[in-house]
Amino acid sequence: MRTKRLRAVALALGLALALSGCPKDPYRAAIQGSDDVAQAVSAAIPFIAQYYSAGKLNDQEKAQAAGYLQSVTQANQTFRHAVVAAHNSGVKGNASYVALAQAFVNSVPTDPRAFNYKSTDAQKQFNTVLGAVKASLDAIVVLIQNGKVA
Amino acid sequence: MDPNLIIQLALATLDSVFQIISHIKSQGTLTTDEIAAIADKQDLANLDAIKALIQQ
Repeated sequence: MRTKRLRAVALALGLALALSGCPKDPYRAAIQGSDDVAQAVSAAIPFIAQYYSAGKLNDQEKAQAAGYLQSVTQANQTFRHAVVAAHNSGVKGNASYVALAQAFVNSVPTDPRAFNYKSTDAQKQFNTVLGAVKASLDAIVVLIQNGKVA
Repeated sequence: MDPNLIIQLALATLDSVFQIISHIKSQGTLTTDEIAAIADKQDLANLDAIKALIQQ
């Protein structure tokens, strides 16, 4: 049953990416991708709090997961501001936005699915919820590449 | 598994799904600048929540 719930979250996140994946231009694609990342982080935070409160994450594991989300969020802010600045300066076409997205992805190279937790339950849960954050991050480049130039 | 944790996780999961559905709907109707503003607010809220989590 828990697996079904996890799949529901993963599916919903996947749907969010897929259904929002028809942007009109690379600027919109980049901003939508950034918003997807923010939403995925928001969805992951309660799981860390609840697992920690329940004693299923120790201090170090909590700090590692929270630190990952913090890095992603700060990089997401930097990415989005760069995208808006590029748009405001008249940048068009996919190449510049793809480069910004790739820099964003490269700035957070950590794969959270490689984190090791003492609890097998936590391991499954966080492979899913932090994996969804990683998936939303990696999806931005594809979203922009599939965007049509206005 | 602790029944309270199961309930909390179920609620968190439902909340996440509803948020994402709402998110999908809103992205289709908003301008790009409006989506950027929403993402700005969400990132700030996320950072506040993460800080609280680290200090917990």
